[in-house]
Amino acid sequence: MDIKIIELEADKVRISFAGETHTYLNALTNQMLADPSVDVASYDFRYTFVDPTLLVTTKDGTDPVAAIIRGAEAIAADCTDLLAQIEHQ
Amino acid sequence: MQISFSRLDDTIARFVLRGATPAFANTLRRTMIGEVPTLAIDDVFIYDNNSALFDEIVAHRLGLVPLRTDLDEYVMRDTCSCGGEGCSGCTAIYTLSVEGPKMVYSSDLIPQDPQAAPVVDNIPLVKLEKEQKVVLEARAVLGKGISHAKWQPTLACGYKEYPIITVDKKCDGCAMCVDECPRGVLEVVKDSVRVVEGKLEDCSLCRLCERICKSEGTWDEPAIHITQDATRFIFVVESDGSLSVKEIVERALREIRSKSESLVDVLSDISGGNGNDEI
Amino acid sequence: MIPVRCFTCGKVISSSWEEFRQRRDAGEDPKEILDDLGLSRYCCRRMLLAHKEIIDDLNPFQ
Repeated sequence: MDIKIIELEADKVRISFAGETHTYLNALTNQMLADPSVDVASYDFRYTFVDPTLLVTTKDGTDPVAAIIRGAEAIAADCTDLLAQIEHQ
Repeated sequence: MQISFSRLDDTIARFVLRGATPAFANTLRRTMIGEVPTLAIDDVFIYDNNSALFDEIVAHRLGLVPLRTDLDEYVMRDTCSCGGEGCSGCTAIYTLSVEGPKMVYSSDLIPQDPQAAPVVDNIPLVKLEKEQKVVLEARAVLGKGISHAKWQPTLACGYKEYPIITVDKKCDGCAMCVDECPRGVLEVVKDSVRVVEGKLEDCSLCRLCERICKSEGTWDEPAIHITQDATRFIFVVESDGSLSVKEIVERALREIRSKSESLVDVLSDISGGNGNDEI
Repeated sequence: MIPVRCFTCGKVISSSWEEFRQRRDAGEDPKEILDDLGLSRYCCRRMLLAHKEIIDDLNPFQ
């Protein structure tokens, strides 16, 4: 995935995703909001011809990049789980 | 998260996704429509065309012809080892040469790779009169629905939240809601309304039953309630024939997974590197 | 020429046109024909119902 980190602080990160759309980022932000240490997880995709930016801030000194990694891993695990179930049907 | 198919054949599937969020359901839907690649004709070299249709109309009609796609055989042109020039690994070539008077059908497209033949043989492309002819060469490449609808593998592809129908004790079985329901979901048994067995998933959540119960009954609140379960989704996926529905669902899930994994990879690299630099 | 696919959902409907036209001209009820052809959605049904073939009018002027 082609990403660019625009801003990185201890509890805040802003990342630009080249070529991504609502399709993936909406699921990712929703997945991250289920994490209690995440304060804000939102993305800005105002026009279809610009790259969307993801903004994540965290509470309690959690690393925001680690929070994104956890969110993405959870989505990947869900997909693996569903694929295994489709195999058996 | 659980997935259970209630119908699965080559062109249409119906399944229930349990324990999911609306965001994930929508991501799956959007990925199936827009990010699962299929073959479609993209370049057309027209050597001769004196039919009533302009070259670009013929080319447009060719583009919309669905082609059987073996995703293990072809790769996207921009990631192909030929560097985007077009080779047998990323391009399927077709020739068409017809002289009138005749109707040109999609079966007149002669594929170089018989595996990538048109799905439907009798799509009329152009009608030729005497002394008219069309000679052309067409090249199909893999593409994604997000860039053009001709690369969309799905037709109807959507979901609805699972309906929950509850009937209060006060229901007197007047059967007004039974007549009102456009999908025939309800029936009256012993002076009370209930859902016909196996029909619950047909409910379109239109709430006409609630409305008629409220307006025609003697109460302020309806005796029947339609609510939705936001963790269970009924999906309907229909394929245009280029890929089987099962493959569309699987490819979509793999696409979401590979995006997640590559994001994890990239971020792990960056957070390791950046963290050290800044401290 | 009949559009290759339904404008709305993308289902290939042009392959059904010839049969639809013949049976309609023979006096059959369009509803029955469309049901027979497996066109269940109203977006696909209107494609055939509302189509007028004009290629034979254009051809003499080529």
